[in-house]
Amino acid sequence: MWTPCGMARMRPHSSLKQEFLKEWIKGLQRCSFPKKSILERKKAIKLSADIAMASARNGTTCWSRALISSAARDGSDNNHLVKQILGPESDRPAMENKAPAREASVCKKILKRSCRIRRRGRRKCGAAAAAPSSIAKHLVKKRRQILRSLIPGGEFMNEICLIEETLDYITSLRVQVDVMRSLATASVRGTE
Amino acid sequence: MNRALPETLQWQQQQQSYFSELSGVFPSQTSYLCFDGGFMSSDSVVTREVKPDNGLETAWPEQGKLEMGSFGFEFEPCGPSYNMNYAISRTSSCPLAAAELVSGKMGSGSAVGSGNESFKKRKADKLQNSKAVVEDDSMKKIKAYEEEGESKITGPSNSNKSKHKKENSTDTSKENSKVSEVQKPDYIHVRARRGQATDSHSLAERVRREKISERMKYLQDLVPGCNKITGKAGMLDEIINYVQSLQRQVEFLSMKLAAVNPRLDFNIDNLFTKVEEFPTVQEVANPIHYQHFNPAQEVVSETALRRTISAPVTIPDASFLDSSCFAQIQPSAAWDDVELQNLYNVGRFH
Repeated sequence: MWTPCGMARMRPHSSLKQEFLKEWIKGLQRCSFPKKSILERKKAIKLSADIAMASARNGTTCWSRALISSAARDGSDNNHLVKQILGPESDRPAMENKAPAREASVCKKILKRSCRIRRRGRRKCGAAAAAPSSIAKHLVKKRRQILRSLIPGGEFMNEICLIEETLDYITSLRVQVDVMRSLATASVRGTE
Repeated sequence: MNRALPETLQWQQQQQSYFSELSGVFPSQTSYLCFDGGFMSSDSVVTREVKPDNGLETAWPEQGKLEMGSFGFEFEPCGPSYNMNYAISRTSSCPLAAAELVSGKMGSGSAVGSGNESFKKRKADKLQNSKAVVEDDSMKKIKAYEEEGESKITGPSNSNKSKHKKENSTDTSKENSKVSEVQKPDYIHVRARRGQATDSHSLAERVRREKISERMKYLQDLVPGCNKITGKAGMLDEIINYVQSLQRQVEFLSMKLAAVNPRLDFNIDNLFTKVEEFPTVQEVANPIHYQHFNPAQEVVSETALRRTISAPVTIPDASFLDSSCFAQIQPSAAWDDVELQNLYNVGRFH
């Protein structure tokens, strides 16, 4: 019987939170902070939180690798920040991600090509599409597309993988939100 | 169906409480929220826009102008607008030429109906301005469906009629164990009718669908308010909403943290060491306010934070602060996270 890795990870919830918090604070401390702008600070906070969340998975899930690789992609403005946050010790997940990044772009092209071909094939058959099955299909497909766009690295997953990744991503997001919220309220109270 | 509503309402209220918190922090959010669009990665899928400015004043008379501004600016560049359109396309009356067609003919019409209700309650006071946009879009959708006509349509309709017959026949004939698991008529009705594959592929299809439905069940447990929805489309919608709301929460919380800490020195290491330094405070707190054990630890952590942020405070002052903070903390609702308490507990013993 398949037990989702997300469910397995839901049980040690507090340890995941702890790990995330440690990684996040470490990442924040590594960032250089002469930043005056609130937006830059926000970006740094969010970025370090995302990377901490993703590295807590240690490269076992697709979305975490996609998140780190997209954050570390060359040419983006926050590249230097990411390098700082990732630091010397977490080279391993960063290295793993270089290959998926290349494969990712190739996969994207293949997907686009296949979508184009499929669309062309559909237009050639000109039957009326008022049947409920096609409408249902379209609805579900549209939603699945949206979900793919939400989950990092979702474009390259098949359905089953997508749902598994969604599970894991949701648990990690929850952890992230909980920790950030408690830290935010603690620091707000601290400065009152 | 009705039970799902309070959950979604609560969730929405939570979101709104975040908005109001944030509006309390900033006097003017316009610049920040415009920038927010850069972080959302879902732009590529979305081409529809919400025009919030016109409808904002009418749609939310009860909320402050500040929050309206924040809503508007957030929705403009981002992916959630598409989702809102989707929800609205289910609830607004006219373009439901499209939605009624869908809900009438779909097998999971009841699921869509229940989804309708929950979305109505959740989004009723928002985005009525986008009706016009949605109407156009739904008209386009209908045309798109007609244009994209497939030959598979006749296929699925035939196979649907013969599907049950096929199930029975294969059950008797096939020796595969997975076929017996499939003999559940309720979700076969609900799952989308895309079984146009021939017999040789049907088994693989069925296995795949089994896997997908299994995972969707786990998702049902995870996402709040998903228990009542049985359709795949409805559940996917809930999941999408949930993920988007979580991502938005992360954005807002990171913004809040950026606003609160100008120097971004959280100094958790200090925090943990300070917690170790004040065992007496902890012991005093424990027997007296056992049910507020959580706030006791948070108080200590706050004093630690205060130490790092402001001038150093001596220990007697710290205890004085602790007792004064109890009154502040007790009515708080945010500190009911037992897991965070465990977190601090474990951190203390590092």
